[in-house]
Amino acid sequence: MSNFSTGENESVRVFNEKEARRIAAEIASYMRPERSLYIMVSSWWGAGQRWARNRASLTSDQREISIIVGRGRAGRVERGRFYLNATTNQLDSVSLKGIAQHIELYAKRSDNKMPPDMIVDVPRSDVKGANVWSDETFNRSVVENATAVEELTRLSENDQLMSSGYLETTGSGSLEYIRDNWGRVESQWGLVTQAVCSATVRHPKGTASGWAGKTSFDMNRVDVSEVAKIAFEKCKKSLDPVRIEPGRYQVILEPQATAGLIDVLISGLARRIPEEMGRGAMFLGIDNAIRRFRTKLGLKIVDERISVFHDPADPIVGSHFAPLHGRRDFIKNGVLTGLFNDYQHNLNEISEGLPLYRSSSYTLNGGNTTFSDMISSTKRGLIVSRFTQIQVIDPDSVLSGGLTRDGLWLVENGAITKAVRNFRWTESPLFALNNVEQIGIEEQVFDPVSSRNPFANDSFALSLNNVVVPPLKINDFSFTSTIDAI
Amino acid sequence: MSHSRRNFLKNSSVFALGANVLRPQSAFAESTEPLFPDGYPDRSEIIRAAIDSAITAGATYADARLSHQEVLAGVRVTNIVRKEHMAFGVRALYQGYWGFASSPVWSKDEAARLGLAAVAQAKANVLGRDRITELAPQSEMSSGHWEMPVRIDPFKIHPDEIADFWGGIMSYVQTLKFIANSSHTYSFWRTNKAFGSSLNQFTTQVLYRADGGIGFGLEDKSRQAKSGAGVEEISAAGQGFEYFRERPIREYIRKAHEEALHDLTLPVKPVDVGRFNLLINSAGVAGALHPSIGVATEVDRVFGFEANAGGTSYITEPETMLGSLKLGSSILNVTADRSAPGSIGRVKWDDEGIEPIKYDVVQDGILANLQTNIEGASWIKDHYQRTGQELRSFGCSYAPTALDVQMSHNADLSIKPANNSDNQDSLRVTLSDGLELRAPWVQLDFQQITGLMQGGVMYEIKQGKRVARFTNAGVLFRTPELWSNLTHLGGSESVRYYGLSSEKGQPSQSSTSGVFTPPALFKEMTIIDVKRKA
Repeated sequence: MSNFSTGENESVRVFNEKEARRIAAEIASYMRPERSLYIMVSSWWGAGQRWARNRASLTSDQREISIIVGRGRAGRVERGRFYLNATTNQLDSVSLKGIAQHIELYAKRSDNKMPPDMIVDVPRSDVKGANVWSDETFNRSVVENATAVEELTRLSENDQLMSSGYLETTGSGSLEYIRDNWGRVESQWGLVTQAVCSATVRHPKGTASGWAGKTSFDMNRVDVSEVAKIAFEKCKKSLDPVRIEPGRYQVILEPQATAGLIDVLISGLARRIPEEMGRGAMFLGIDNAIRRFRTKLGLKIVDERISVFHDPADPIVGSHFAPLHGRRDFIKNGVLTGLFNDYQHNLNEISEGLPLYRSSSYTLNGGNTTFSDMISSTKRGLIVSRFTQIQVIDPDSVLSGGLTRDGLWLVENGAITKAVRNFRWTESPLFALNNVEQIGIEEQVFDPVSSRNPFANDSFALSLNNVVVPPLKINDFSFTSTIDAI
Repeated sequence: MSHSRRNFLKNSSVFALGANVLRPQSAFAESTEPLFPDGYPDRSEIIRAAIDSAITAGATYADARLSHQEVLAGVRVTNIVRKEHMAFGVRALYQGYWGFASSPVWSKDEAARLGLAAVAQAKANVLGRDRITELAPQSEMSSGHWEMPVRIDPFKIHPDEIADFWGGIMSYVQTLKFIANSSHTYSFWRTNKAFGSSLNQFTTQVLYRADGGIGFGLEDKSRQAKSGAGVEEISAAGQGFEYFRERPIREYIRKAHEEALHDLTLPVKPVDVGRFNLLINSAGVAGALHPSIGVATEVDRVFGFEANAGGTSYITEPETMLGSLKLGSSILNVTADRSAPGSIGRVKWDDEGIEPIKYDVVQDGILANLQTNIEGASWIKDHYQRTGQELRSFGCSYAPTALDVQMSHNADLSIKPANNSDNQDSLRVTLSDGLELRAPWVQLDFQQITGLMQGGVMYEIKQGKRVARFTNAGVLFRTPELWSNLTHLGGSESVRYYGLSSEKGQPSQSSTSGVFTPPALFKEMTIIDVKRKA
């Protein structure tokens, strides 16, 4: 791997492990040895190829560093995100000492209020992560990206359509270093690459829009021309959409739409809210015998054909850091079997060996119905390309609202008959997953790392959202009004 | 690039000579630019090294930016977050294509590397088809140093003093009646920016940001009633610690609490769906204006550059719509300005070295201008020519740090208040039968045309008085209808300021801009039950 050395006066694309460990050790040396400590040393490189109006609009090469030091109870509520912390992107001694001293100052003041509870996790040498580093992604050249974009924009220009999109290859290396109050140290080094491509093809008069996207750690699995072709075809099939009445429709959700709909459900599969506050979709009620809030663990919550799990060793959705434990099932055959532990809330369980678990990557098992069978077996329904602007309206039922975007078609008597104007919808993913008609073949969907602004998200190097879901045919999906946007 | 004026810049030695002629060295010597941070090289030198490198490599235009950002933020009294971030970004134009390279290292070696890398990025795209890139000219070469005037630099006082201040404020909240929960956040930002370009600009500025929020919930157990309030007077502003310390925060809290106490006495009813006259408070009007007029007029969005990210705009044909598209009733006048004291977007120069000017976005209800940067302004040059206006960027270029490429963002917007003394209370009195909406959350679609306001508090108004609270109320609207239904605006005394954020770009970057607006009355708005399914 090229460019792994550190330069004196020039930036590097990604640190090597040795350099990251040196930085962490330097920070630790500035801090009192008997106290707990959390350090994250990350570096990141990204090459971006943006295009619009059938031309490359910006080609960029960015490098970034993030050094985070934290301490205290809040330190591991969520990896890399906690209240008491200090961050820099500079490697000189003054900067490193500065963030260390900030933590010393404020941790001292809050010592009385914070129990000594930062605990190194149980040994987990038997658990394997996945290799999510690809040299092809890291060494992908700007010329290759530019050439790919040139080809696809030429195609849309020839058809007098407007293509815009984004192709990005990134690589990052992160070291997580934890020291607990007993002086035990645990650290791990992880490398990850990611290739992301998405394209929107629009009619120049704004009368049609098609979108497609693909994500993988491996550039070889992101076929740029295929992404462009799907967006292009969707745009052509969406020309001059007609208004139809809002109401309940059978829907065929493409995998991207499935992922959008159930995202709020998956991210809400945590124990803290139902157990501590007696709220949320996974809250069952009060158990009067033991006077505690009970969750829905062990109960059937969705269709028995639905299972949701995460396997950190999976080569597609796996994680680059050594995971806290192996495969975990959240929903098995429709039954709720697992909820995320929260470091703060479930501290006793965690210290007794029950693992902390938090991942935004997951797999929803597929079925065996092909997409064309889903269409041909539909009497009247809508095909949804994707959802956007999804927002929870009622956390207790996960009732959500959102919009359809970039491709919505009416299916009548087994065939697509027309393109339809976009809808606003109001629906709960729990309702939808209890009204599943058919399940298609699962695939990895587009779900890029949300934001790399170090001020917006400290743990940018860790935000992997690898999601594998199938297309679903769902009955009685609720569309509440037509929207004008195309 | 078609400007012959810039061709001479291809030769870097000419560039160096030009620097001496156009911006005398003495200007730097006399400037008050701080030597910042200690031990780092002179910013003008490394910026010039980067531009030299890009121009030598063949760029027809290049700019370079350095940013140093410090953040001090508090979530709870004992939890104080400190961040420091430095970045160096170089942008180059080569045969009409843009290249950009950035990193956290400030050095001359890195400057040379970034300059070369930016050009290499751009060059990779030269594969046979032209990309015409024109840049709006600048009326004069800009140089100098500016500091946003603040009375208390939050980075020059001890963080404990700030934490103690907030401790006192939140203790006060706890003394109020029926308080069930409360929360606050605050953050202070200080950004040192330096900008230089191959047009011999060199500007440095220090910008401040004070950001905060206070919210609390009330519960009257005897009535089994709950209510909540946020202090609407504080959001994100271009100010120092004085934004909190020198303002009557306790008075704001007391007022908000009083309103929430009154809410507890009002019955809670399921929403009546239908069409109603609706009074929206300043926070709600700001929340609606920011996306529906602000984001929608960002020039790159209008021209489809954001189609694959945030979306496009209802301004589909800017050439014909500018000056003719009816966006609202004739009392709607919106100006954009990045020089309003205290507002979050305030700068002396934007991130392309342009000194922003005040301009009309909506004039008497008609779309007047787009929010532009130097490239975007040239896309509507025919409009400028036809209307006899000077072709120029309005100075909307912005990037959160130099790590991100600059883009056209929302400027600070103002709705012109009515020429009367109306305010929220006097407008309510005029409503015999209607609704009032306080501080909703506004979301628009990806073309900024249809939207939904929800959350906040919806009141039923009878004979000018709040008589009930509605649950699950939403206001469904189309942008032009919303603003066409505007019937009354409050007077200048009722104008309030809000800082609001939006995201755009790939990779995504966010910006915060301010809105100054009075409360407003809208007729016949569509009210829905947001929880009702089809």
